[in-house]
Amino acid sequence: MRLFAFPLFTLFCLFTGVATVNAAEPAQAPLILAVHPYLPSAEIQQRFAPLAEYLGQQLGWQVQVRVGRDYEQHIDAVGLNSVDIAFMGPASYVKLTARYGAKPLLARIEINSKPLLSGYIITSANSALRNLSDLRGKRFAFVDSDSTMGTIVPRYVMQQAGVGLNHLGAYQHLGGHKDVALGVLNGDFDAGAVKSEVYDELAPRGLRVLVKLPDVSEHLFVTRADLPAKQVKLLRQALLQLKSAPNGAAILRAINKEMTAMAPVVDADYNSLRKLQRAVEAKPE
Amino acid sequence: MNILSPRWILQTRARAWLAFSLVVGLLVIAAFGLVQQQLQRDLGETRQTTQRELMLVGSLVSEALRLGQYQNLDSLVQDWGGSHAHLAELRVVGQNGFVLSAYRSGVAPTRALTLSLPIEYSYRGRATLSLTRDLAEVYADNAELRNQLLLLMLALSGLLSAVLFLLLKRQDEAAVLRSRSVALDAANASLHAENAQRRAAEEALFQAKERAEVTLHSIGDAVITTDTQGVVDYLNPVAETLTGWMLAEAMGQPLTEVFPIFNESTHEAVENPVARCLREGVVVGMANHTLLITRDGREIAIEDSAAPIRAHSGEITGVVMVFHDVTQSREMAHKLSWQAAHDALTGLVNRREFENRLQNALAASHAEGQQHALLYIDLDQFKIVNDTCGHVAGDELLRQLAALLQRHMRASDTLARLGGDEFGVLLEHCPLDQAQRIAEGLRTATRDFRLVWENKTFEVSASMGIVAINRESGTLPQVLSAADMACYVAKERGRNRFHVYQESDADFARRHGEMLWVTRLNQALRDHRFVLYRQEIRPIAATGPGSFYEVLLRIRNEDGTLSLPGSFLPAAERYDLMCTIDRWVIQHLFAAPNLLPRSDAPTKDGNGLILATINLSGASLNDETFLDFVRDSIKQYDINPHAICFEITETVAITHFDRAIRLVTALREIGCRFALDDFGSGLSSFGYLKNLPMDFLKIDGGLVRHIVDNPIDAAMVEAINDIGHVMGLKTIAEYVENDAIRDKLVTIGVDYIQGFGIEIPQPFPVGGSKVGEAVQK
Repeated sequence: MRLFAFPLFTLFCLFTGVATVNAAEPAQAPLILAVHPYLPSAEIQQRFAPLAEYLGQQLGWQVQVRVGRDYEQHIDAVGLNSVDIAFMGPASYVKLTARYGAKPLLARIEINSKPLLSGYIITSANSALRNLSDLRGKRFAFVDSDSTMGTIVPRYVMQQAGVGLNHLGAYQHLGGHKDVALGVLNGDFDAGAVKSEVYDELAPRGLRVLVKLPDVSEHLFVTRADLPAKQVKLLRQALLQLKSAPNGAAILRAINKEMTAMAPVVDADYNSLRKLQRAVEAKPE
Repeated sequence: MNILSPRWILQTRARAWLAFSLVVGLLVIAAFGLVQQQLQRDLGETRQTTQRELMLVGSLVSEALRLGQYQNLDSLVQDWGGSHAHLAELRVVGQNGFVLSAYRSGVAPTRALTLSLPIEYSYRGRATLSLTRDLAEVYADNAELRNQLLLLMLALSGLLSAVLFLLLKRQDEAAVLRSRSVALDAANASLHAENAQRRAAEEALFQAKERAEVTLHSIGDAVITTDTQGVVDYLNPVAETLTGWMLAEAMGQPLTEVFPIFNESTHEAVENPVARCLREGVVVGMANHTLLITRDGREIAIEDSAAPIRAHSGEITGVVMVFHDVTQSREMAHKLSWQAAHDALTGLVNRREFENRLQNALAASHAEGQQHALLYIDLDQFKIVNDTCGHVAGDELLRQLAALLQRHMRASDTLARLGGDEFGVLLEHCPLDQAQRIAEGLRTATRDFRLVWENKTFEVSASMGIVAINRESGTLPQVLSAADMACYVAKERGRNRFHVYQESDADFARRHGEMLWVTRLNQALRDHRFVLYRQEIRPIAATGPGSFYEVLLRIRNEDGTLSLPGSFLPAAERYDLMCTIDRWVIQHLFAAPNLLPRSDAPTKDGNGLILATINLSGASLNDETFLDFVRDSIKQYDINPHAICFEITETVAITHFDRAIRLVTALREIGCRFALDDFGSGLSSFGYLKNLPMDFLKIDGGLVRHIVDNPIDAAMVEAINDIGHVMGLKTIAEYVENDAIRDKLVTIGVDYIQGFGIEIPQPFPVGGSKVGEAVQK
C-alpha cells in the first residue's frame, strides 16, 4: 500500500494543478518534454532546447524541456502521464511498459545512422583484468540502476559469466556514464560499464574495453497515453522528418554530436532488452 | 651652533637642499619599506583566504568524490575556477595521478600561490586538490599602493621643495629687508647728521660771510670782484685806495676802466687777468712787471692773481682778483739786481756782468761770425790821486771819468768797471777800425779830463788794449788776457795810447807786469821764498796775547824786500796758481815744528783758543782733491784738526756755494772750523749765511774801520754782530786800528778783534828768517 501512496499523491497534485491551469488558460499550457537526468540538468536543457522549439513550431503548441530528479521519478512521471512527451532510455522504457503498460511511441534516435545503443565494460588501460571472471572481488562502477548500458546490460552479461553482484569486491551506482569512466580512470573502481559514446570520448585518457556489451534499441520519444492522437501523429511526423527539416541536422547534433536522425520505433524493438532485464531481476543478489 | 638647528640648515642653500634631499630620500625609503610590509601582509592574507577557499573547495570536492559525482566535480571545478578570477589553476588529481579535473585560466600567472589539500574519501579514496592563485592582483594592488605612495612622495617633495624654496626666498627677502632696513637706518642717521651739518654749515657760512666781509675790509691786499662779463661789483678799501675808484663809482664799470694795467717796461696794455680767467676757467697770475695806472694817473707796480668764482655746479659766476702794491719791493728787486751787475761807485756794469756780456758776444761770434771788439782800459797815474788826496778823491775821479766815458759810448756798447782803475768796454757789432776810432775818442776824452779836488787839478790818461772778437777768438779768459796784455803793451809803450792785440804781445807781457808775477811766483815757490806771517785774533776782553791768529803770506823778494799778497795774489788768481799757493801754506804751516798742537794736545790754553786760521781761495774750493789733501796732511803731520780754521770770503762762498757747503761740512766733521771772511763787503746775504755752517763771522774791515765816525757803518757792524750771535757764531772784527775802534766794538759786543791796533803781523819762525816790519795784510 505504501508503495503506491506516493504516486497517487503525486497524481492527485498533478491533476489539480493541470485542472487549475486548464480552467484559466486551457490552450496556453505548454507541452512538457521530459528528459531523464542522464546529464547535468542545465546541459540537458541546453541540448534539448532547439528540439523543443522545433516541436513547438510543428505542433503550434509551446514545448518545454524538464529534467527529472532521477530515473525512477522519470519513469513514474511518464507512466502516470504527468508529462506530455518524454525522452527515455531503453531500460527506462522497458520498466515503464512493465509498470504502466504501453504508451504511444514517437521515434527512436539514430546514432551514426544506427538506431542501436552499444556499450562496454571498461577498465583502465593498464589494468590486469582480462575477462569477466577477473572481476570477482573487484570494485565495479555502474550507472544508475535503471541505466540500460550502465547497469542492466552489464549485469546481465556479468550474470551470464557467473559474476554476480555478490562476487564483486564492491560496486556503486554512479550518476552518469562519464562518472563511471572517470571513476575507473581515477582508480576508484577497477572496472565499470558505459555506453560506447562515453567510452569513445574518454578512452584516450587511459581506458580499454574489457567486454563489448550486446546492442539494444536506442533511446526513444514517447507521449503520455492520453495525448490526442492528432498531436501524437503530428509529433511523430515532426520527429521522423527532423533529419530533413531545414535545421534538423543542427537540432539533432545539439542533442548528441553523433545523432543523425530519428527513426520509426515499435515496442518490439525492446523485447531483447525486456528479456535481459527480466533475467537480471529474476536473480536478485 | 647646533648643526641640526633649522637656522643652521637654512644658512646656506646647498645645506638646505641637501637636508631636503635627505628627508625626501628617507621618506622614499620608508615608503618602500611600507609597501614591502604591505605586500607581505597582503600575501599572508591572500594565503589565508586561499587556504580557506581551498578548504571549502576541498570539502565540496571530497563530497563529490565520495558520491562518485565525477562529472559534477568537474563542473564544480570549472565553475569555481571560472567564477573566481583570482584562480589560475584548480585541479584534482587522483591517487594514481589521474587528473580528475583541471581548471586553468587563460593567462599563465607570473606570480602565483599554489596550495594543495590531500582529500580522503570513501574508505580508500585519496586525491589531491591543488589550487593556484594568481597573485597578480595582490602585486598589482601593491604596485598601485607603491605608485600612489610614490605620487604622494612626489607631491610631498614638490610641496616640501616649494615650502623650502619659499622659506629660502623669504629668508633672502628678509636678509634684503634687513640690509635695506640697515641702509635706511644709516641713511636716516646720515640725513640727521647732514641736517645737523647743514645747520652748522649755515651757521659757519654766516660767520664765514661776516668774517669774509671783515677780512676783505681789513686785509692789506686789494680785492676786486666782477661778474662773468668783467663788470666790477665789489672793491675793498685797499682796492679803492690803489685804483682811486670808490666802490660806489666803480660798481657797474667795466674792469678795464677801473683797473687799467700795462707792462712795466713796454708800457703796452696787458691783457686783463679777469678776461683770461673767464676764458680759461683757471686761476691766473698776472704777468710780471705789471703796472696799474690809477685814476689820478699814478703808476703802481702790482702783483695780482685772478680766480674764477664758481657756483656749486662748477659754473663760473664771476672772478675775484687780488693784487697788492709791489712798487717798493719791485724797486728793491731792481736795485738788487742792478747792484749785482753794477759797480756801486761808478754805476757802471761790474766785472761779473761784463764777463757775462762778453761771454754772450763771444758765443755769438763763434756761432754767427759776428764782429765785436773788447777794450781794456787802465788809467795811468791814478795812484797819484789816491796817494795825494786819499780814496775819496780817487773815488770821485773814477765816478766822473766813468760818466765821461759813458758819453762816448754807443747805446749798444757796454762800459764796465773791472776793478780799481781798470775799465772794460764791449763794442758789439763793431769792426776793429771802428773800435780804434772809439778808443781814440776815449783816449782823447780821458786826456782832456780834469779833476779839481781841494784846489788841486789832476790829469789822468788811459792806456787801452783792443782785441777783436770774431769766429777765431778763444775762450773768455784768453780774450780777457789778450786785452790785458795789449793794454800792458800800450802802457809799456808810453801810456796814453791804445794798442791792438797781436800774437807777440803775449811774450812781451810775460816779461813784464803781472806776467812777470807768474814767473816770480813760480820762482818764489821753487826758491822757497814764501814766508808765513801771523796776526793775532784776540778775544775782546783779553789783556795779553794768545794763540789764536790768522796765517798770512809774504814773498821775500830777491833784494830782501817783502811783497804783500795784494801785489801777487791777483796774478796768482788770474794765472791759476792759487791752489798751489794754498797747499804750500797748509803744508808748511803743518810741517812747522811746535807751531800747531799735535792731535792729542789741547786746543785751548790760559789765553784762550789755540787756533790758526788759513785763507782759502775759490780755486781750492773747486779743487776736487783738496779735501783729501787736507785730511791727508792732518794725518801726516798729526795735527789736532780743532786747531785749524779755514777762512772763506763771503764772495767766494757764494760763488761756489754748493762746493763750499760740501767742503765746509766735510772738514767740520773731522773737527776743523770755518770763518766767513769779509762779511759786509759783498752781498752780505744772511740767507746764504743761514745755510753755510760756520764757526766765526769776520766783519769786513771796511766797515769796522769807520765805526767811530760813521754811524751807518757802526749800525751795520752791530747788525752783523747781532745776527752772527743769533746764529751761534763768534764774531771777529778786522782792521781794529786803534783803541777808539776797539772801545766801540766792546760796546757793540764783538767777540774777537784783529788789526794793527792789536798786533801787527809777525813772521812765524819758519820758512826763513823773521821779518819784523809792519805790513798790511
